[in-house]
Amino acid sequence: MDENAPIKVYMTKKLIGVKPDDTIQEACRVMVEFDIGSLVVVDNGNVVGFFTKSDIIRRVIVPGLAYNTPVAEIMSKELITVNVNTPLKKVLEIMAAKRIKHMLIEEEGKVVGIFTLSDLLEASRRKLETAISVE
Amino acid sequence: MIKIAHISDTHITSGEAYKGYAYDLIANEINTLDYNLVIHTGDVTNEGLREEYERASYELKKIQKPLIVLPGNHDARNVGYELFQKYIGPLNGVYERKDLVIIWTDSTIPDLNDGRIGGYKFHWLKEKLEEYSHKKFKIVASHHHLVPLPDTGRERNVLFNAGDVLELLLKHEVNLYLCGHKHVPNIYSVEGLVVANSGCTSCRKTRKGDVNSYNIIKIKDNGKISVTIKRVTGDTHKRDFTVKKQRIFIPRKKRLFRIIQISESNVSDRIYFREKVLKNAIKAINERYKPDLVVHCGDMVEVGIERYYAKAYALWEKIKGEKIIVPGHNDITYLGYELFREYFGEPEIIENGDFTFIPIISAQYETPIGVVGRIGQKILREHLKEYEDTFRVIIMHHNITPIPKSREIGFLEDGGNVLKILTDEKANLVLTGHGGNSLGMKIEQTPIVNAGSISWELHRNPFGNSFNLIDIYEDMIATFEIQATWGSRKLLGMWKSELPRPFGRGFLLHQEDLPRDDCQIRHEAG
Repeated sequence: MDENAPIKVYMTKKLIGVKPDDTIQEACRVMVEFDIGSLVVVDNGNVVGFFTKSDIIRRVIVPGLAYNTPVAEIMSKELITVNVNTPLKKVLEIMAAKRIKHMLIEEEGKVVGIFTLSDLLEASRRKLETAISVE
Repeated sequence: MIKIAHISDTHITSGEAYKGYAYDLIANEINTLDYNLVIHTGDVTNEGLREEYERASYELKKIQKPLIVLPGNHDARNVGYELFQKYIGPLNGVYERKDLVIIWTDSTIPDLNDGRIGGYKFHWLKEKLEEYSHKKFKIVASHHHLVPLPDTGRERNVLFNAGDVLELLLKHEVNLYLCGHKHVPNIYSVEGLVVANSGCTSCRKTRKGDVNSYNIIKIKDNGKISVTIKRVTGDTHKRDFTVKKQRIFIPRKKRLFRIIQISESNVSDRIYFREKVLKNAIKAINERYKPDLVVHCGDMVEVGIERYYAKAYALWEKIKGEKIIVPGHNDITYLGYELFREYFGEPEIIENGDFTFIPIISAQYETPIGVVGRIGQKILREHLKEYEDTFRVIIMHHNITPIPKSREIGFLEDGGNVLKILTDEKANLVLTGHGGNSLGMKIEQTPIVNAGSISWELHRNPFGNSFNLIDIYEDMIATFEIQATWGSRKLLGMWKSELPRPFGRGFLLHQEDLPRDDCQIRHEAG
């Protein structure tokens, strides 16, 4: 891991999204199908919102919202983004300061990627695998 | 707009290799047309000799445009790399112009024809890409090729660390990689990176009776890039590309087919074989992923002996459902050639509804180098044509695209021709399994997915042992690597995919693992 490398090197460049009028249930199906923890909300090619699994727990399950509520009603509309050329170290600092685990990455005003903490966990997974695979 | 003339392999010498009239023709054309810049991707001279460099320095002055020249393997011969700096210029460098940066590196190895962007230089390239990260257009240029080229005879001399270099360029969203070396003009789009090989500008040694040529590169402010191969005969072949930054997928259509792709299980009694990990993965495949087909891309056993085959067969039988396996080079060592067929049978084409799975044998006796062969290539093309109205999945052992963290030595001897057939015929998916690391990339219209090792400790994958999950939807293909022990996922690739025709009945919808209408994420009529 190189802390000075731009975040574009570490981000996921292909995003999975839903449309604002898709229901929460439909969005959750997409999350389950692709085993992902967050979705961007896309309207006319622009990212207009974002939400994570924990947003669903806090904004849907706990208040008891109907599952057919459109995602537009529960998504975060004020997106926290950093530029694609921001060094990894700086991105981690911002994530820590804002206490967020997902960061959207923008370039020329368009969301082009996402960076999550799990992107950094590869090495530890491998070490644990080695530890338990010894016969 | 910036217009670049990309020349290569001039092979300037007083000997027969050099065609002075071809050089003068192209140099004059470059001077009279509106090029902003010229890049020469190496092999300026034929043997790296002093008199050749003296003449080259004179010949290059004929080009009255800004000129970037980098060294090729011929220039490095006879310690010519020292003379290159004296007569031509720096071996590595950076050129900036408005939104554009061009970074060129010396990829030569003294006295060898092979290529390498070795340790320090790789680090330098990485630093430069970080430094110029903000530039809208990025070009990297080196002499040696990155992906196998057609019509070059045997595939060789690719950069030893082509996998790492390719990964670096893709991560940094480089727009163009310019190279020469093989005297074959070629243009490939690799996950949005345009890899442009220039043919030879003035060397007698052309391939397949071709003529001398150079490439024309246009970069427009609106993000459009075009590459034109221009031959001295006047013939042109142009390709247009759009730089696409945003790749968002909104799943709307049905999942049609699920494949689990495995490789390098290397069943044995060696300590490196992780039986626990393999059994854990088999359990997950059976209970969680429930694929329509399990594909093993070879190296089922570590060596071809009866004891290992018996053990491998018992494990393979535990996987439920339809399966297909092609032999890897380990599988046919010793008695393996016989044993593979005894235990697993001859791999045969599987027709499953609108999907066709075509196994291609590439493993050879006692060598990690694979070959499809000239007859094999014909058969491959015929199969791709025969089944062109179905979704065609090619299954083979040897990787065609270079694998990160491995020393790439051209593992598929005829990889260049095979890749050309696959991309020409627009194979819908290619599954390979050599190199011990996972990779997913689309070359032209064809997604190519390599599997890492599922249960062999000697792998090259920072993610650990893994297998791939490939879901084919009506409008896209999503490929994830699944960590064999933990089940955590990592996206390998996601590509828009057009089916050969609207599929009718016959596809399989798998809904057991999800609520009733789950796979139809939201099917929009029409």
